[in-house]
Amino acid sequence: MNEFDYKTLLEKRWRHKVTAAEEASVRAWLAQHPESRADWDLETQLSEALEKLPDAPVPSNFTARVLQAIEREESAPRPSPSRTPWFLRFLMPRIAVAIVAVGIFVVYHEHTAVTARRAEAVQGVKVVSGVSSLPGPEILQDFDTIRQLPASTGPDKELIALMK
Amino acid sequence: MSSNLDPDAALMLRVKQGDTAAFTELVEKYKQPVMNLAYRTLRDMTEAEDLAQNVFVQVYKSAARYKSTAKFSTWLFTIARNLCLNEIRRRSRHPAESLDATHPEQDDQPLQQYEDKKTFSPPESLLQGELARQIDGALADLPENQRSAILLCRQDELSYEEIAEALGCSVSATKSLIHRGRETLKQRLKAYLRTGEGKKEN
Repeated sequence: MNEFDYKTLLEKRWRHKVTAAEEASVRAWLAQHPESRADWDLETQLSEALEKLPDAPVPSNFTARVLQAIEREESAPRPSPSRTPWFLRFLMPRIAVAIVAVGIFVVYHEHTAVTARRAEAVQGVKVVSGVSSLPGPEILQDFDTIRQLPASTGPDKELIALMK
Repeated sequence: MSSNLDPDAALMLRVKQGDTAAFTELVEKYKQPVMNLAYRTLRDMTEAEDLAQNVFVQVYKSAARYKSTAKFSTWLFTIARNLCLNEIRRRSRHPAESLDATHPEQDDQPLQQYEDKKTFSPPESLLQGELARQIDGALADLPENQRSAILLCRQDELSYEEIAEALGCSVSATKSLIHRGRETLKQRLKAYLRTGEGKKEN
């Protein structure tokens, strides 16, 4: 017998009495391992004490009372079935699913639009940041004169001919 | 087909078909172990009776859902333990003064003494001696899962696998619960076990 066998018998003793042969082998093992003797004795005494615990008293009419309780429950009025029309009971879950689906679509659509607007803004910032320098204000000194020139005037062909 | 069937499962199949005699047979067979579990969990005889009664009502009402592949006693004790847990939870939500609660200065005296008008004897008078009383007290102080494991362990017809199923945990976890519970009991009852009635038998 080894320690594993001893533990196995100890577990068996939790529930049942060990046989005479098992008891003898335990005693032989305990003779070699006296440190475990007190524990075995205590386990045995606890098992015996638990086995001897008296039963809780059961009223003599217990079974009759159980049957009466069942009878009472069976004769009790059952909750009336739902008065919701059948087509509503049929449609309700489908409507609920549809509402949830529409909700999900709206949230998704809104999210996509916000993402696109953000991407656009980012692109604009990129373009502006790409311009290295802007021309100075002196470039606009003839702005008013140029603006007052008639828009439909074509090229001065006479002047071009003279210059040639 | 049913030759290899657990006799209790065979009775339950009859109960499914509305056979009250088969149900009565099952109640007669299991009322004592269910009462033991209920009483040692709740420590109140009236509540234990109500709970045990409710266990069998549940069994009857759930008969249609019972599968004969499951062992009846495992199924029964699972229902019993679940109802005990519900009652423990209900008590913790609505604590009430228990007639069994002990007096703060006199550990062995109940807070109040009431005349027992029931036809059967009160549980205290049935407990044989100081050791049994101490064991009951020590069991009551154990965590619920350790106590249930130890009490179900007393049911010969339940294997460790079936106890584990009723407790909703693995076999190794069940053995660990029993071991820890017994260690606590041994520590608490050491003096009584060595000098008490347990010793006399050796």
